[in-house]
Amino acid sequence: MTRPAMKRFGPALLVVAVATAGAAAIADQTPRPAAQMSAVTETRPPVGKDSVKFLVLGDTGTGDRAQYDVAAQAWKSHQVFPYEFAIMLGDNIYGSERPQDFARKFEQPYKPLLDANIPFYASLGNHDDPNQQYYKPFGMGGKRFYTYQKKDVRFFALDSNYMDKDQQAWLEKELKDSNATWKIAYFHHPLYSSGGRHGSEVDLREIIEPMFLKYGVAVVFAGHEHFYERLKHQKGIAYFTAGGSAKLRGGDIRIGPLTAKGFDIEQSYMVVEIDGDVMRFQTISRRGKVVDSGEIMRQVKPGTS
Amino acid sequence: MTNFKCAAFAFAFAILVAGCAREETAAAAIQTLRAQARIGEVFAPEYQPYFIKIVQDDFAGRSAVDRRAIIGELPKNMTVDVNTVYPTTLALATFPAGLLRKLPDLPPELEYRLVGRSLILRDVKANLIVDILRDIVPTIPS
Repeated sequence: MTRPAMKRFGPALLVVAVATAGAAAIADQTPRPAAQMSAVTETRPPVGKDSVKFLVLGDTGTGDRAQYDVAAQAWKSHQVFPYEFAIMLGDNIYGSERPQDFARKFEQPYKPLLDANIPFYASLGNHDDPNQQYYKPFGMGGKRFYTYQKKDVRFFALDSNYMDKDQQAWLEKELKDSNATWKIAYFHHPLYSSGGRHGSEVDLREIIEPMFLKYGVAVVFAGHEHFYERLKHQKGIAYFTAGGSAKLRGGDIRIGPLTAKGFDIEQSYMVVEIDGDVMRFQTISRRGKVVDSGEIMRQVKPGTS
Repeated sequence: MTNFKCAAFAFAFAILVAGCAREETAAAAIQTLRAQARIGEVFAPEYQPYFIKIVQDDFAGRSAVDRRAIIGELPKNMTVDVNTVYPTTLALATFPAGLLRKLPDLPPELEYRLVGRSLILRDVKANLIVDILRDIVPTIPS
């Protein structure tokens, strides 16, 4: 098709869509019973007094017992490590997305967090209806990709399901315009992964990683793989996969040259603290064990602050 | 492009009717007005070879592992037809970013998706399948 033909093709297609309200009304539903959990958590308190603290959840929306267990454990972590917000790495709601599903697969398991006014900032996974962008508790503001800042940390929530040119142009502009000390990106599909089921998203990597490198993205979180993996730094960027906050694909990690640490025998989540030039993380299992932790120093490139 | 313009008129009227209605209302209005919609009204026959070549060249340029990974995630055993709702319980499989780069740009209201061996055009807001190009995604050799 020639470009002139596309010019005719494009504008006419513009009229196809009809604006929708999108957000679903939420119906009440009887809560599922919480699972028997360990009464303690190994979560350690944050170090910094004025640090940016957040929770990382991925591939959560099953509505099953594992999700409720992880949610309960994450709330226990909050008592020790008072994270201020939560990021979601996609597959926020599996299966049907009726109002009662949003209740059962999101509002009920995370009720303590929602009651404590902890905001969520979701990204879309391949199992998510893009209309989730209109669901207010997901904090997406009606956008499938968006950015926000917490103190000196700028977050970029991307839609890795559909990395079209509009999103690429938006990302480049936002990265370029940001002078935040830390730039953190998160989205569903991991650019690097040792997963046997999916593996690395090479296509996506070729498009967005050059921008990450050019504009100083320090840390990337992804889901999709139903386990936890901390990758060895790739080109100076710290990559984490944390897609096991409800679903679990046990034994799927193929330990190889990419893997710094893997955990695929139990569901998990992360709590993270950005404190000056240091990022501290803890990865906590469904039963409250810290299965990985560490610090990442922000790498300052010449000519940047 | 005549067929395409007729369809566009129908869409425009649907917008007037549906206004800012919910997805289901919008879909229903468009479905009514496009009741006679047929495959190939947007992917018009004269453009089809162009799309087929892009998709097939893209897959041919991928490693077997990559092809298998992409095809393995596509929704299968799913009947799709023009002017029907994309099943809300099915995953919208990730569209390969490299392939998306090669296809013509679309207005933000529309997107490409792969379903089984078909390339579809999906109305993002109404969640309707606007057109289909069948059997262009290669099969995985057994």
